Order: sequence, then structure tokens, then C-alpha cells
Amino acid sequence: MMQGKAPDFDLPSLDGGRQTLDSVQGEMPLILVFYKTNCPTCQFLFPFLERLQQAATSASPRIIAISQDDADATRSFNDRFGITIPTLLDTAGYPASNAYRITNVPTLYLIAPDGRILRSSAGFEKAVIEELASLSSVTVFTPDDRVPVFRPG
Amino acid sequence: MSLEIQEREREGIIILDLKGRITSGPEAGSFRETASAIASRPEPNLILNMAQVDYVDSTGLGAMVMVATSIKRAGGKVKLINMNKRNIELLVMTKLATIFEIFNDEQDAINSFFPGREIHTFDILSFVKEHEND
Repeated sequence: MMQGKAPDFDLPSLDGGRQTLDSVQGEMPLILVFYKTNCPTCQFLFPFLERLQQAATSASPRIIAISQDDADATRSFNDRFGITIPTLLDTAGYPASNAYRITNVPTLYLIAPDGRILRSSAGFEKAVIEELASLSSVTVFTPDDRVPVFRPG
Repeated sequence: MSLEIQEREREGIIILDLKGRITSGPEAGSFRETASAIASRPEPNLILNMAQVDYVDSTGLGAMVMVATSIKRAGGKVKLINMNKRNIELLVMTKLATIFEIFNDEQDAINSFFPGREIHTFDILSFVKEHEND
């Protein structure tokens, strides 16, 4: 996985228009999550990320999902799992996936406002999600959630 | 599906022109099925033309290894041509570069199946040295 400075990207948004790394970065850290719609671990992870998204405030890290599938498949995934996280599409040539050296999905990067990669994680890591949730001072997992410590992507 | 597979033949060598991504799901599945059918033929020597493969994930790498293994068991060999920088990096990083012969040129890959023909192999050590500071 990538270390150091996060590579720039210029990708179409699921909602239209295009976004670059600069345009999605703000004053808070950025969480980039690469995923594929038919990946079971992605399907497992995203509802928890959506809880983070729903609890987000202006002081929370911004979450951006990057789908490796086309708009129809991605929209269907987001509808099925109730995902409202802003989503970009990395399809033709997979420029962002290659730039970020993605070999498994889901892969998650936490990026500082100055562009430094602070954290990366492949697959589902409960501790990483809890760490991200702590940045927003929220609790993602409930006692009823049956969540493994790790699930490979 | 995001992997198109076209089969052709030159001098008795089967060439698969791959276009798209080799990833978990139907892409890696169809790739394995195609190669499995080829492995059932006599002398299944195979060249994978990776020129238009723009993304390979860990499952795709696994599928490539399975294909190489099944072809080898059937008495053939698998060679790779037209690998992009990222895909070569993946093979080097996972140490899989040692199980695949890589060529820049299709004719060189074909020639490598025939003893006595001149070939120019891809120098992976030079590639690593050239890109070690990237």
C-alpha cells in the first residue's frame, strides 16, 4: 500500500462532475475507501462506514468512496446498502486504484489535510474503524453487532 | 463483466488478448475457465497479452498463478507480454516474477517456445533498478 504523499486523482463523481484529491480535501482528514460492488467484505464494511457518515459533523474526517465499478453497479450497491457517502468512479484504466497501489478491496486510506497518508488498511479491521470513529467521537459498533476483529478483502 | 478475452494462434502458440481487469469475481473466474479449457488441449503453450490489462488485484494474481500451474501440469508453458509498469511492480513485489517469463515483444515470446531462435527477454533487474526511486 502507499505511504508518504497521497497521489492526486481526477475521477468522475457518481452524482456528476469530477473530483480531484484537492477538491475533496478540507481542513479535516480525509478517508478514502476503495471498493468493488461484488466484494463481500466491502458489503460488510460499508454499512458501518455509513454510520460514521451519518454521525459526521464539520469536525469529522470526510469520507469519500471510490468504486471500481461502473455507475449503474455502484448506484445499485449504494441503494442496496443505503450508502450516502459521496462516491467517485475509478473505472477506465483504474488510474486511482493503480496510483494508490490497490491489490485488495476494501482498502482504506486516512489522509491528512496536507496530503500525507496517515493510515492505511486492507480488508475489514475492526480496530481501524473504531480508530476512525474516535476521530469523530462516535461509536460505530453496537453490542448487538457481530463483528470480527479482521475480515480479509 | 470487465474482462474481455480474445483467443488467437500464431505458429501453434495460443495467444490470449486480455482487455480490462483481472480481479475477484467473474473476471478471474472467466479467465481461469478459459485457461482451463486450453490446458485440456495437447501442447497447451500460452502467451498472455497483457497490453490492455489495466488493473490486477490479489485474486487476479492468484488466477494467473493457477493458470500457469494448470498449463504447466498439462505440459505447456505460460509467457507474458506487454506488461505495464504497475503490473510488473505487482509481480516483483509478490515475487511472482520468478515463475513467469516476460517479454516486451510478441514475436520474442513466440520464438522462446522454439529452441535455437533468437530472443530478447525482459530484464526485470534493470526494470527494478530503473524504478527503485519512483
